[in-house]
Amino acid sequence: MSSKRKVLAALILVLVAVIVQTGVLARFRIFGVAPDLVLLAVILLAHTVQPMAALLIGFTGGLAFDLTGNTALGLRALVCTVVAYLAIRTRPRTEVSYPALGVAVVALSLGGVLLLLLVSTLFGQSALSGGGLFRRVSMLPLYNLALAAALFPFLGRWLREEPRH
Amino acid sequence: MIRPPDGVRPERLAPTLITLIVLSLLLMTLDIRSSGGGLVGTVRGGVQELIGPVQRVLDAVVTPVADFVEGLAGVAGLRDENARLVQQLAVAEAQVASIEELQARLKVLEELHQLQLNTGELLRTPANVIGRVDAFDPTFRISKGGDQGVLVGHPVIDTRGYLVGRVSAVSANYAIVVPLSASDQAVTVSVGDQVGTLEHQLASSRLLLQVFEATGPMKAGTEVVTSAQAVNFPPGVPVGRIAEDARPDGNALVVPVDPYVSVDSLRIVVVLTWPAGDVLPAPEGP
Repeated sequence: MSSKRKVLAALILVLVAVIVQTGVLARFRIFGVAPDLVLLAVILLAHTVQPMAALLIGFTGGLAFDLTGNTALGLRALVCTVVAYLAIRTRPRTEVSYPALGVAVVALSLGGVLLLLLVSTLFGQSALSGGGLFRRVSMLPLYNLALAAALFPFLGRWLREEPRH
Repeated sequence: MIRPPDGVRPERLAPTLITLIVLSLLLMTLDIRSSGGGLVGTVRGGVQELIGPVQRVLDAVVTPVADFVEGLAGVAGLRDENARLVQQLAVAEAQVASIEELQARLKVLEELHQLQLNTGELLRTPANVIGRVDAFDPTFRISKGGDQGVLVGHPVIDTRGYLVGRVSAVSANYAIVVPLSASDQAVTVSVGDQVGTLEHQLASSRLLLQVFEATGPMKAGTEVVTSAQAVNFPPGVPVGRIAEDARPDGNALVVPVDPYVSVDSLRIVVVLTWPAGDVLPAPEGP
């Protein structure tokens, strides 16, 4: 797949992730928590496309996610951009193996959630409202890991594909 | 093994990263300053209209599966809940019997005094919950919007009549509801003859009731309803129950309240047209 087509496919994938997240995954709240497919897509795509494209895809995906909800526009765009950047920076370490990538998914998801809570609170948003905050913060990265494990068989071929320069 | 492509060196991404972060912060500031209105509100409404039909389809497909999964997750508590519901049903049947007797007496008295009461009811718009965001955004999208008479600020209750929250944004066919547990606006409520304000607490599913001119203690389990002094909600809508016994400290009394509604499990809600008559003006003819 050419680099441009890959970026376009990644962009479409992250927008599909927004729709699936808001229409499907957010309904499957086990113990009050749902995985964050958009964050996961940003993390995985940052390992496959060019770094600059990954950063812009993270921002676009987060912005699209913001538009579907009621929190301030730009909140998730900021979080997804920072997470995409961190994913790009950790690429040399996570390319070693799938377990390393799994650890990165958990760590980056946790970092993304904590950043979301921090920025959300600073801007007076409602992310801290509701009970079971520790449960939500701790379980979301694990759900994302499980979801990543389920997605690997489908994305594996694409992830392994050698880029053309 | 995953082989990422080599492209721009990560160190060279810093200017783009900073630009995108600044852009995000500017967008957040703009959105918060415009209170969700203006250009941002228009764009958000447009996106809702765009993804709404897809979410309706997904909702129709996903709801039975989601119910099944949630049922499995909560199977341990089903027996207790069933016993509790049987008790509630018995109490409700007793209340219905007593209310029927009261209604019969009221009818006789009205006929004796030739009274004609204003029984105009609030317009109710049932709607499906078709979209949520994630575990950190408690708002949800419903399947009715401005074209169906839903306006920003309208109160929302569940199918049992318990207060859920308010409509915060509306597009033509969809609306976003902010539950009480996430609303930054307090609700004026009554507990017996005492009036106070109810607001959400950070990192807690309980609400906090503050009474500034308390006249007596409150017992756990006492029902909290919206007050006649409430501006944004009709009076008498049940909200929750006092969570623990509380005594006034001076004139003030502060006590947690367990809300009746669990927002995560909502499938259908009802939007109330409040104040009564608060509807969109009819379109002018040619």
